[in-house]
Amino acid sequence: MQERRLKNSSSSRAGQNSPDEQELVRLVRSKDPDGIRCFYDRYAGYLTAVCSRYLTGRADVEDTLQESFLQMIDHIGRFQYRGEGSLRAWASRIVVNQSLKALRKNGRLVYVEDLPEQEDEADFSLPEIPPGVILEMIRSLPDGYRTVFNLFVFEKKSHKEIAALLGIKEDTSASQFFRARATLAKKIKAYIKEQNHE
Amino acid sequence: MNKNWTDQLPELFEDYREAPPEGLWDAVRAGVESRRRRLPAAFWYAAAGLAAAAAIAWFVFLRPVSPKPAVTLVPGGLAAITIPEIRTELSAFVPSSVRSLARTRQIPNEVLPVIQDEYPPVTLDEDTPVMPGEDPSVILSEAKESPEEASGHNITEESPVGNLPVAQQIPPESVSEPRRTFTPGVQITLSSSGPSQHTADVVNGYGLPSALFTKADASGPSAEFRMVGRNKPSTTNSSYARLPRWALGVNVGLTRRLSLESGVVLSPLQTTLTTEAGSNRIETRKDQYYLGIPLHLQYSFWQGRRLGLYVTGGPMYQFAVASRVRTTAEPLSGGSVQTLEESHSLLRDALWSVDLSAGVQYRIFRRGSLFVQPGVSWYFPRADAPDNFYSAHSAAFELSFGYRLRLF
Repeated sequence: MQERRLKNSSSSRAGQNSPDEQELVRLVRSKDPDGIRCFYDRYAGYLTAVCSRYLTGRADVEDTLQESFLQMIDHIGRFQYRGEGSLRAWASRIVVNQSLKALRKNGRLVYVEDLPEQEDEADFSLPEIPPGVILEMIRSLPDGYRTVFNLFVFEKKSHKEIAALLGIKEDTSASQFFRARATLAKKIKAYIKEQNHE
Repeated sequence: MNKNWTDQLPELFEDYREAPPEGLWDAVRAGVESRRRRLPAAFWYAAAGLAAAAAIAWFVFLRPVSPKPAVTLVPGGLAAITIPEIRTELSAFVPSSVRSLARTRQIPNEVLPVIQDEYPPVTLDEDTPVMPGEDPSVILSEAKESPEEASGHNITEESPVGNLPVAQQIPPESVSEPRRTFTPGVQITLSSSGPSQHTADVVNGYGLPSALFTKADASGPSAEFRMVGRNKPSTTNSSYARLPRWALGVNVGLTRRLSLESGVVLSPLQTTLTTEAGSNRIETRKDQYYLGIPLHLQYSFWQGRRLGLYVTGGPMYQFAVASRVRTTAEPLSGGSVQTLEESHSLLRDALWSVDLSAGVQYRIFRRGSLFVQPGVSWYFPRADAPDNFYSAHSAAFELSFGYRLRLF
């Protein structure tokens, strides 16, 4: 019997007739090799960016993304389609959860409070700064700051939800966020200033 | 002052992508393929377990026995027959023990003793084993009712041994007390259980969730319905059903009351997703067939002359063997139903369940019984479960009925 194997090359349906999310879900659910490859090709870049916001080590990112993709493929039966974009949001949530798991596992979630909390006036325009630069700035934040900041800003979690998720006090979440924002604002200003000098 | 500059970040990163780590796809692919191999492994483990259980049962209870019993004479001129293979000495001709005798073997004429008239000539033939839960005295009494059915030698006054003294002449210490013995039997069971239907969720949303299984690039009616239904308010009804399941089983007696039952169970499942959006109704029907291998222990706690009560339970391993997905569309304004897509590709799945039932069995023939067996099944939840009856219910009631045929 000829075994159906996942393709090694990047030639897949992604490059041909790109299926929409519903079709993609159906293909992954039926463990269609082309469908899985297509799913990977479509979301790997975006999910790598999401994962990189939480984890700084390249090996951690790779391990977490691998586990996340396997979770998605295994658990696709639980996904309920709620319109275009819902699959990407669902996949993103899985990556975030796996990233938090990796941070907890490595004991990295330490909530330092020795950096200034006071935020200067933010008189900059974000769209002028490449996202890759901002991402590097976010990645340079301490783990606790970065995690709370990401959950609050990108996942739209409240401090109450973050506190429950990370097992910390609501006040700690709020203070970590404000310190993260202040630190990030300083870095952005410094970057803009540097760019202007050049 | 721009205090809310962080609000702009999600939008800024909306389409931002980073190059995935090198080797990530290879790792994902290897992971998917290794997980895919788990299903056959689980199947073979289950099959190996069944085979081991069957081999042990055969070795302990059903291995071939020597057909020739050893005959010894005991004081008083009575014959005692030793059947070594069941390691039980049967002093078959102690009158007071006839009714409690579970089994006798064919006895050569030359060693047959005489039984007093008060003990009617009764014998059980080789083909009349005591099944789990059956009272030997019931079988004996039935044998009395239909002596013409009995095969082998009857113990009669015409025995060539002649009128010998009866049991009281035998010193008690020289005659071993007859023990109840048991011969395992085998039953074939054919049963069916009633359907179970459940209309689960009514979800209001957008688009045509029932078109989930249609191809995005399909042309013709499929594409047309997708275009018309997309982004329209919709109501989706999900319905999960398990149609009547069929089972063929073998029941092997382990002790008088306990037996082991296994076999195959075919369970058809039906999942229907009906969505109404705009002026269209689209329906996807998914039929899946699961083959199950149960390994149940059955305990008979009461057995009357014909009626018996028992409980049975144990694990069952099921795996999908066939599936079909059919999507149809119907304009609500009128018009014919169109088939958008039909697929027969197998939706792989496997699961374990635990079943517990209580049964009533009524013997209608000498070897045949009808039974009714209500029970519950609990399905182990799985993370990767497909959307069907098993994933929609963690437990389900079922009513089985069928026919059991005792082979020997």
